[in-house]
Amino acid sequence: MKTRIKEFRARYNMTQEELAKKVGVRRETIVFLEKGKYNPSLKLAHDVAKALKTKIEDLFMFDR
Amino acid sequence: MKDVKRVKKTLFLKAAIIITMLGSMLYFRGADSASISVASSIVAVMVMITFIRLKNPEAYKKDERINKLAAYAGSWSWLVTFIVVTGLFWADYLELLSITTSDVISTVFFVMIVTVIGFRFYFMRKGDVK
Repeated sequence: MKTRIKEFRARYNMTQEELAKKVGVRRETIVFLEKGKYNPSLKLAHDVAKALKTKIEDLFMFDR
Repeated sequence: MKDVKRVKKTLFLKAAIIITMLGSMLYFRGADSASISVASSIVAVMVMITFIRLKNPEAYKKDERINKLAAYAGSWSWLVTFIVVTGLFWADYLELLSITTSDVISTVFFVMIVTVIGFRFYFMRKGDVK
C-alpha cells in the first residue's frame, strides 16, 4: 500500500505527532502508515483523511 | 500528567494484589521452587510495566495497531505454549522426564509471559501483521 500522508502533512505544515494526536493514535502508527507498512482500519483511514482535509482514495493507494 | 496520575493510582491496587497473591502462595505452599519462580515472574512483569508506563506514559498509549498486534502476540503465545505443553506431555508419557504438576504450571506460566512479550516486541518492530 502506498500513501500520500507525508505529502498532505507537509502541505498543512503538520508534524507526525500533531497528526497522531488529532486522530488518537501513537506517533509510531503514523510512521508505519506513511511507510505503507500498516493497513489501517476504515475508521482510522477516514480520520486521517479528515484531519488532512482530503478523501481516503486520494490518501491511500492499495496495490493489487 | 493525567496518565501518570492514573498509573500511580493503579500502582497501589497492583501492589496489594501482588502482596496478597504472594502471601497466600507462601502460606499455602511454602517457599518451594515453583512458587518462587511464579512469584518472581509476576513481580518482574509488574515492575517492568510500571517502569515503562511511568517513564513514558505516552508510549503506553493504545491505539488500533497496538491492540491488533497485542491480540496477534497473544495468539502466537498461546500456540507456542500449546506446543511446549504437548512436548511436556510426550516427554512425561515416554518417561523421558519426571515432571511434577508444579513444574508444568511454572513452565506454562513462564513460557506464556516470555512469548507474549517476545512476539509483541517482534510485531511492534515489524509494524503490522498480515
